[in-house]
Amino acid sequence: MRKAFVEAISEILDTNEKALLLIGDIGAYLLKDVTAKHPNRVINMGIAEAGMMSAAVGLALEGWIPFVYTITPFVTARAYDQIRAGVGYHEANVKIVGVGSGLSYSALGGTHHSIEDIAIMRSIPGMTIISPSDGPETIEATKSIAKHVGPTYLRLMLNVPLLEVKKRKPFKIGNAEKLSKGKDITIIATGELVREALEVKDMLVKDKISTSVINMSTIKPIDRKTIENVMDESPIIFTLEEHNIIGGLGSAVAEVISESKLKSKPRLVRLGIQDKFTNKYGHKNELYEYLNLDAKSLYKRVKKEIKNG
Amino acid sequence: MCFNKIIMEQIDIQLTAVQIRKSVVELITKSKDGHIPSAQSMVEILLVLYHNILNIDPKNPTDENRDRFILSKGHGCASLYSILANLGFFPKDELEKYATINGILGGHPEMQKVPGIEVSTGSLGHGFPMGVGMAMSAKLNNQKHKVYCVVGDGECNEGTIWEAANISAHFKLDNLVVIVDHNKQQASGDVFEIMNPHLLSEKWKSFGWETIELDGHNIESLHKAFTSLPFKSGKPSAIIANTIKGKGISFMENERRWHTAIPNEEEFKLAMAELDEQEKQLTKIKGGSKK
Repeated sequence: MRKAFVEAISEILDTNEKALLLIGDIGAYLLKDVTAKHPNRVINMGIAEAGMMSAAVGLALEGWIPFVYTITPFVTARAYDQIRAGVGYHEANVKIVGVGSGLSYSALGGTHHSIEDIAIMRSIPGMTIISPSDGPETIEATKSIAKHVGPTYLRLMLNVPLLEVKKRKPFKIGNAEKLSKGKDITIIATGELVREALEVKDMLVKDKISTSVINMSTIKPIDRKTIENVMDESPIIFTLEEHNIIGGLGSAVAEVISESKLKSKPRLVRLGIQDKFTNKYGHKNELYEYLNLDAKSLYKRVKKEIKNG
Repeated sequence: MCFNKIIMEQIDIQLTAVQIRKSVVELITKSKDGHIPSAQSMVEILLVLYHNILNIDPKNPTDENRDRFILSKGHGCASLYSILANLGFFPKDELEKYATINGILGGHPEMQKVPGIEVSTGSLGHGFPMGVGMAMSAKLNNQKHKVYCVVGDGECNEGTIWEAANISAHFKLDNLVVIVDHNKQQASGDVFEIMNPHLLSEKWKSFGWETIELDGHNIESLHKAFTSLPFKSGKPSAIIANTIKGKGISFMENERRWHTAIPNEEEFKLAMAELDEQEKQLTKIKGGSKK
């Protein structure tokens, strides 16, 4: 995803002379070619995320399209006040790009994980939130948000393998992507965990359970229509996110289900980080296993929930 | 852009300053909301800027080549509102509607509502850092205008001020000017007792800013400083303006409780009487100087 973003921003800088990339002293090596090509429009703002965010607001008010790029907790939580009173309150056309979201910086520990960013960004009026599932979708999403006018947050992981899906729907802000059609249950996932959701779907086939998997790559505004469509089809809906289950995708889907006028009210099970910091080190896959977010553990949990009705 | 501004003489600025101070007292007493002393300490700074320095056109407040002015200490906005209304940025009757549901003027200034306001401030430590982005933009666009920011000395407690100061000097933003309204008071009292800023001029200097210190009520000094910008090519300029919080109203000057206090009827009359007297004296001096 990181490389995909670099590819996309490089093209954006080539084609849109108002685009800027502000970096918080992160990614300088990956961005060296882009920087060499656009020395005035790729700006290293140092390790000062709050200052960087406010400066981005000033630049946006002058007509620039600043992409503000650094590690997720620092570009969201640390600069939250600047995002709220600056980007949000001024309806500034700033693109906030968090790299290494969720547990991506696994071995660096809890300070570098980001499990609250969707919750805090959702609460800012007018903020669009995009969480792609793999590299190609990241490229499409980055190009889309460059054209979209308004505050936007792009939630990226680090190195995510290509999603093994034959045909992908073109990315469009606000549209969820139905990756499989099933009649028994639905898993609505976002980000890298879409991959695990697809694997769970494959594992459930041998149990004769057919699963709809939805890639919710826009978290705000949430695609109500797609959620309501599966409400009629599935007695249980699972949400799956690399984020605290409080305030993230699960909460957004819960709001839609609760407020829906549809008579069918499926049970919602929120899978994700169960309201605790992850103070373990190791590879990301190991943390997935520790937190029961790997396909195998998820499969067991899904089966258990189906059994419990 | 050509704005045929009337360059104000010193005596006219002094006289206008008193009228602005009266307007501040009236606005806030009537609405029972706002910060009188914070608005009073920077009146001369604002008047010299708005009448003699800034390249702005009230009829075209978004002209791309205008100078940008940011009141980073947004809570002092009452005096700025009066000045903007006098210049014709918006109708004067908006002052009557200050802090009401039907008005555009609130306790902190908002860019979406008020012509002439560049960024919405109120949350301290935000305005000046946004101004840094505006100064960066002017450099990127090769534009010649300047960005002026008034920050409070209490506001300098905020870490974001110093992040922004660092960024500005690093990028050699000599089109950026910070005026610190050093009125020595913040919400709970004396700035040196609450959170000692030590020597503000040394601080800004050490962050790579070309810095001067002056009397923020002295019109000649302010004018001289503003016409010498940038103080040094390739460096942002800081002016530490020594001022008196609550200036012009003896019982409010440097009195902590007045930071957010609202005058009662008697206090209002007393304040206005003091300002009326100052206006009378200055009118007399002005008349004398004409003869």
